[in-house]
Amino acid sequence: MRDKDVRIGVYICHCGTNIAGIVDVEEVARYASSIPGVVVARHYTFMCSETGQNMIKDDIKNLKLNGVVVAACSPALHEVTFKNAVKEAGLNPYLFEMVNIREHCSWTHTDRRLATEKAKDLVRMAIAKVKELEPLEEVKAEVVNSVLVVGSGVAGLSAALTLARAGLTVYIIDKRPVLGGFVTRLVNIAPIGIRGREFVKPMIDELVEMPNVKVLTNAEVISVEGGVGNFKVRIRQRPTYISDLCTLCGYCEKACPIEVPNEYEGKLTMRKAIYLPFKEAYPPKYVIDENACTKCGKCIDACPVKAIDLSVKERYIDLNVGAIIIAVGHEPYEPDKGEFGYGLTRRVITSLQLERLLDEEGPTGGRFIIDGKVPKTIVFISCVGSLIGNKTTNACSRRCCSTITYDTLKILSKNPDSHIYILYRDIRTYGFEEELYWKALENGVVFVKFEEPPKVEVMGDKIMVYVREATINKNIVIPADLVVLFVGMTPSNAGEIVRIFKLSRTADGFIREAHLKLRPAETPTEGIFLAGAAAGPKGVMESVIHGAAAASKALALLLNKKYILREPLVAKVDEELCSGCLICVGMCPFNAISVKYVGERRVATVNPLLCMGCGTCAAACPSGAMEHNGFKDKQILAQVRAFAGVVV
Amino acid sequence: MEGAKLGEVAVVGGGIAGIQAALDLADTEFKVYLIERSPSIGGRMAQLDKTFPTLDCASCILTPKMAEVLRKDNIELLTLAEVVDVIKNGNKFKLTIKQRPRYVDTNKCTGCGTCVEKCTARGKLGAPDEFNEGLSTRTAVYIPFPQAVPKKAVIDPNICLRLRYKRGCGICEKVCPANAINFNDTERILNLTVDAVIVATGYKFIDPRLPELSIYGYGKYPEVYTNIEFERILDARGPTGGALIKKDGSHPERIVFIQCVGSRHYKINPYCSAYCCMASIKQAILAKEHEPKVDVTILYMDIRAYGKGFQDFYNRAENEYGIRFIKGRTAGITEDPSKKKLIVKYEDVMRGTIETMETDMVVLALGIVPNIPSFLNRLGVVRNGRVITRPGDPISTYVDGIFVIGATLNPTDIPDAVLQGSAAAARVTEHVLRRKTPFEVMRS
Amino acid sequence: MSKHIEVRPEIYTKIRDFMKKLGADDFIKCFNCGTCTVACPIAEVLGIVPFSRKIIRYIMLGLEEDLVNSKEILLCLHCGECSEYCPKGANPAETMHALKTYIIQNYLLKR
Ligand SMILES: Cc1cc2nc3c(=O)[nH]c(=O)nc-3n(C[C@H](O)[C@H](O)[C@H](O)COP(=O)(O)OP(=O)(O)OC[C@H]3O[C@@H](n4cnc5c(N)ncnc54)[C@H](O)[C@@H]3O)c2cc1C
Ligand code: SF4
Ligand code: SF4
Repeated sequence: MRDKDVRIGVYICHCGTNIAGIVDVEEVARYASSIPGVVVARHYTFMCSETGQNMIKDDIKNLKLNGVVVAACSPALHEVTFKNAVKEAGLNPYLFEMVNIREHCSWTHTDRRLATEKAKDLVRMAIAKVKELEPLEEVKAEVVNSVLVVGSGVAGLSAALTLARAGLTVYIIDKRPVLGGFVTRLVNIAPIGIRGREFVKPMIDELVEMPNVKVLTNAEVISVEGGVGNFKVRIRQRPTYISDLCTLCGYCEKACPIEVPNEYEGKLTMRKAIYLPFKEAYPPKYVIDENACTKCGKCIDACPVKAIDLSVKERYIDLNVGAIIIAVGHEPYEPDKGEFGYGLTRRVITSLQLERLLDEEGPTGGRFIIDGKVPKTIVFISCVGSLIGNKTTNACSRRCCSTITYDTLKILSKNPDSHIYILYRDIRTYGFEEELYWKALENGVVFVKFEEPPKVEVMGDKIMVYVREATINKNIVIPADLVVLFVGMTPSNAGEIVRIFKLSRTADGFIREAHLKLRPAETPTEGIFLAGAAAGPKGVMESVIHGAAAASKALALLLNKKYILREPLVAKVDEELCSGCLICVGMCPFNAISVKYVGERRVATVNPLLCMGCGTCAAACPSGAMEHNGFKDKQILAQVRAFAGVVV
Repeated sequence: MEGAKLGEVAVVGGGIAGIQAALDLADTEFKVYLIERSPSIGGRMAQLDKTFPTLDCASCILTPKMAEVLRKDNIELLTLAEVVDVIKNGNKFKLTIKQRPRYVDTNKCTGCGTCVEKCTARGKLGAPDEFNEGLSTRTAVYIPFPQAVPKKAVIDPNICLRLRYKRGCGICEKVCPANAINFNDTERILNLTVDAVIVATGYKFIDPRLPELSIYGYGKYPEVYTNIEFERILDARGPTGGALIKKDGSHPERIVFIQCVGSRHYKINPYCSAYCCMASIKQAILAKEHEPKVDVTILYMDIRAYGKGFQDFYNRAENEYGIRFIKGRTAGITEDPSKKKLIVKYEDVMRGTIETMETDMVVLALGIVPNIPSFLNRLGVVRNGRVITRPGDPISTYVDGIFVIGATLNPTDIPDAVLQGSAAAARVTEHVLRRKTPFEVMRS
Repeated sequence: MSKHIEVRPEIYTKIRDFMKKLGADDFIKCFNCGTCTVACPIAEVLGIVPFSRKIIRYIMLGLEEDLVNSKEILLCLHCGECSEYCPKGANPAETMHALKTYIIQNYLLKR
């Protein structure tokens, strides 16, 4: 028991008729006032109103209360309101306990007498707990005014730009050798019609010019410690081998004997082991593909400015940042060999390869030809890897329908005689983009709805696509010159990311947000935010918005802030009792517990800034040394005893 | 710099998009004026029962955000207020705001509801309850809905007996324990100067009484509902107390949802309203949860389950809840008065048959259009009923400092409205800070 | 897989060009909703369903045989109901009308 002289005030809210309609609030108040330690018990129509709050404040001052119980709605709604009121009256806000007699009582029960009894039980338990509560102080933590953005696709670029423009220090890293992410492989962004590389170029140009921005390519996060406001991040940067002296002359490329398929051209063409990903690439220098390079050294001899050094080793960089934005994007689905004829002929391609074929700067110079011929009959198969195919995410990839219709228009503008068939499950051109669908129709594109996925067979120079047209129930076959598999978005190394950052994934494999609807740019871990297709399929514009939204969260946290206050409801070790078994260390999902020595003795210690208050350690501790502020054994047991009727 | 304000921002419209923008801005230390036309913030989301695709209760997730708006010192909430004009003046915007009288002193009113209980203008003398889409009536003095923010009474001058006849009644004034009623309240014109304006005025419904839509019999057959009306019927706070019943009090055996009403139509709206496929699936599931025996059919053209978790939700509706999805569109609804049934005739496109279905209720998935305040037109950022924004940045208009979000911009669901709200807050920060930096550098 | 009918893009183009000359090529706008089917007063009576929607599909896919053998085209009374209801402005009635001419000219007269 905290104090012989406990002076508790109890306040029962009617919530209009929400509570009072079922619970006899007067009776509950009368009952509360009969409990030892309670000096005042009142009931009022709306405790959360100004008048209600003043009631509490006045009592704290006049009656010298040292504990407060409010029985009202859900703490999710008004705990903060009452805590603030208590604090304003000069009482430690952690000497307050809220009881939910609305959701847990009046809204769930219909029997007035029983509901009232339950409310009394709950109030009695809270009073018992308040008697055991201890004043706590919020933990004040200094913040580092910098942000790490992981991934440099549009979402990452958008977030980084916003943060940098607002004046924060920004580190932006990408595991690839160039910035820009997936859009650099798109010819045209539907529906705005801007070339992907041109879209990101001004963003990158502005970003790299800013003094408060640091760019790291070929770099990945390998570990994260610390917590909101102060993360310690270790980054591994694989060597680029080529220094900034590179003048893009290209002699090295000519000298290099190794050829591999060029992923920046949808693997439609070959590139050397030393190569320039594309002409607008940033950083503007050649890169070496480590997996392909044999270190023969021919490039070193060819380089006129001595920019190449093959002996460079990977390096590790440690950063200290206040927040992290995860924008690792997505990967396009790669069909298996033989899946819808893919890999059996050059004339079954993915949507990604189509992008390259349509690009003026692509392998065909923008002429829409395959194997030297203009394909006349073209079949698009949608949802590959999303809803149909060997491996699916079982989720809609959201952007494909608009992109397909957009691409068909592009093809028709180049080759107006093409016959285009789109095989689909549902056409999902949501919002204003429905107009793209209408345009495609008006340009003679034929839409074929299927229920069972189509079958593809290669027959000489024709590709036969068999499908049951579900809306006339007829089996048809389309002899095509080109088949385009519209591949879905799959999560990009999300497994790795969730492991390193201790996050989780949704059923579709993408990273889970804090709340699907109301906190879509946050993760459950404070200070770690989420942007772009890493959280699920998203278009370019939607990723720009998602990036800015994540940046907004980081700005709110860090801009002009020196420190943050954190709730003290965290775990705490009683060092006297701790036997040093360290079971808790392994259990903590947030890496908040570490080892410390008290003299010779090994004990656990909790970093209050990292602790998320889940209570796992307290439950696991075999010696009862680990306790949870606000949920200590004695506090909980007091409640349990009170429930059983043992009033202490 | 803690406490110092970075600048002042007006957020017009207090739906979920506007609320999110206001909260983010307040957290970033901006002074925010949240300007809402109706007596409470919350927008359409406040009227929803549950939300797809996770079926969270809408008020359970929205009310804490609304309460947060009240708690933030940085946010000044103006309700019953409409922006009449916005004039760009250098780097600033001058706003003229018209605030209608509430006739209730918000400083005194505790939201106890005593006045509402006693108000004489009720029933026939009352008015259609906006919150319940006119499916019930409300009194002249009323609190819009239980979770309203601010939770203060408001008097509707059109039906208040005292305000209409300038004398008599006045019961509310007598019973109010807080002395909050003020019949002498008047309209106010407010002027504000701000650094940026975020427009989040939401959407309007297509009128189901349009001649092109008369085939659905809305307004003619009492059991043909719009989806927002149906949402109110499902809601425990709604006109039926959450009971899924027809107007005659009986339980429906069958409900048919009709998709794309007023959307994807060449004479009305060529575009897709984006939210309604999922909203109907949600409502179908909720109907099943209310009345497991009810038979539910959704007549659709394409199911646009495009967002995160949507496909899964759709599959669950079909496989777990046994909701019937039929690709097809009706050419009209008729009534069999003898059986008191509505008759929906449609082609089952996947089977190639003409079918007739008898049903007790029909729910129309109504199309929506952006609700664009006239000042945006005058600022020249509207074309053909749509807000024009920059190609690389869908929320920034061509007038620097004016941002448009949520359903004002394009048909959208809650997650996207929330993201745009936060993104707009970020844009404002950029806009204000970037503009200041060069000056500061020059001075030093 | 012989039971699969081969689509004939050239037939589609041919019909489209023909219809265009008659100003009846709105059918390409059809998004296959089936409203016209239920709007048609004779489709149900005659038990031949679906009506114009199916015919438009046949044109789009160039299913010549199916077109020539469709009784619907000859039975259509051109009452115009379907066009009245079509949400897409695809003018199915006009399509049926023009198609009748096409079928008669190109196939039936030649038989
Ligand atoms: C039946 C139905 C069910 C739905 N179910 C879901 C669901 O389950 N999940 C989901 O994600 N989405 C759902 N939606 C969609 C959801 O309602 C919208 O996505 C969301 O409400 C958009 O928010 P908003 O803030 O943009 O607009 P709104 O909610 O419309 O808010 C706009 C606000 O601005 C105010 N305002 C308007 N004009 C002015 C002015 N001139 N000056 C000042 N203020 C003004 C309005 O009063 C309103 O408060 C549903 C919609 C309907 C119709
Ligand atoms: S979301 Fe669905 S119901 Fe709504 S307009 Fe689009 S396709 Fe029609
Ligand atoms: S009503 Fe119009 S759009 Fe719908 S199937 Fe018939 S012709 Fe096509």
